[in-house]
Amino acid sequence: MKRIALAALIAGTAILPLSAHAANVTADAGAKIVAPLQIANSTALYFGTIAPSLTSSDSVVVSPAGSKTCGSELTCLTDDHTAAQFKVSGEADFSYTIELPDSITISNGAGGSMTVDEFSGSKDGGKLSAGTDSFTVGGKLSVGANQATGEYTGTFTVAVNYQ
Amino acid sequence: MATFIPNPRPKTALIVALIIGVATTMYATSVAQSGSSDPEFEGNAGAVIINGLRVIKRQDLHFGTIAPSLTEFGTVQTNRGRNNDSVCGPTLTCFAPGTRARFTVIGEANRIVTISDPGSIWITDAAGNQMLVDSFTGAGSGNNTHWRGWQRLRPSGISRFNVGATLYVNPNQPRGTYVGQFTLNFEYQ
Repeated sequence: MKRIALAALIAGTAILPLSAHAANVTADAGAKIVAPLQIANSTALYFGTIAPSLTSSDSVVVSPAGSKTCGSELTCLTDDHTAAQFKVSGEADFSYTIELPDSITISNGAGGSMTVDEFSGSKDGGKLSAGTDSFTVGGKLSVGANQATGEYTGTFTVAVNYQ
Repeated sequence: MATFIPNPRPKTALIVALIIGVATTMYATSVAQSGSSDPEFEGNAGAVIINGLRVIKRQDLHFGTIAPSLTEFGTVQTNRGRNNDSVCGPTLTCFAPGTRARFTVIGEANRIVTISDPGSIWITDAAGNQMLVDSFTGAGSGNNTHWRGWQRLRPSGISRFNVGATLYVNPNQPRGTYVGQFTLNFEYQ
């Protein structure tokens, strides 16, 4: 009798179809990758050739538009100054912002140095129409009294970020 | 005198007769073997029928719009618990936030359901570029939820189940729309 009862229970359990025990479901997974933001420098920020005062310090300012203001204590000998130019590329129609440094030091390799600060851009950010855009950067060079002669160089970093 | 009426389904009738014959024989044999003076016995027979398990997708898994780094790897994690709360790696820029996948599980009230994920999948763009998706994580609205463990269906028999995952973005990953599929298996415990 027990054997028969056991057989009946097994048969009962088998009534549940296998498909009712489990279910699979499929979903999509996706992502959109846009072009990375890139920036390239095509023209350096350059203040030209300057004769310092023997007794007073002063400054030279190059505007983002490329104009130069030479301090009254200085003599700006050349007119070859340039604002820095940058080209930005990325995803078309996306916007970006610009970060400029506070100040940097440029040096002549012989112990002489000058400070460049008050960096200013032609814009705070832009839109990548057709995937590209450009902007310029100017700054202020502080020239010490009797500043040592030499060719002064340095680098500054400009960062751009998708907005 | 009897009138003979031809059976329209003679094969069916024959099969029924044979089954009855076998059943009768088995019954007689069983009684004979029991040796009891009482020819009756009782056998238990039972069955438990539960609601079939169904899973409905409510929302796909999407990692949003991402700008890769030119030089470094990055990851994006979609949050299994909340929408629009993806974690964008520091080397990436994420725009539109990602969304978790959402499912509704329908079955027997209070039953435990085990859930398994695919482990990892690839999503691909039209040019054949790929990105890896893994570390699937799940969370549900039931009392107890564990990924790759189990989820107890709510008393209503309906529970929600959400899935997040991690996307791996290569340096300078080619731009494009990447798609793929993943399959989850839900099973009564």
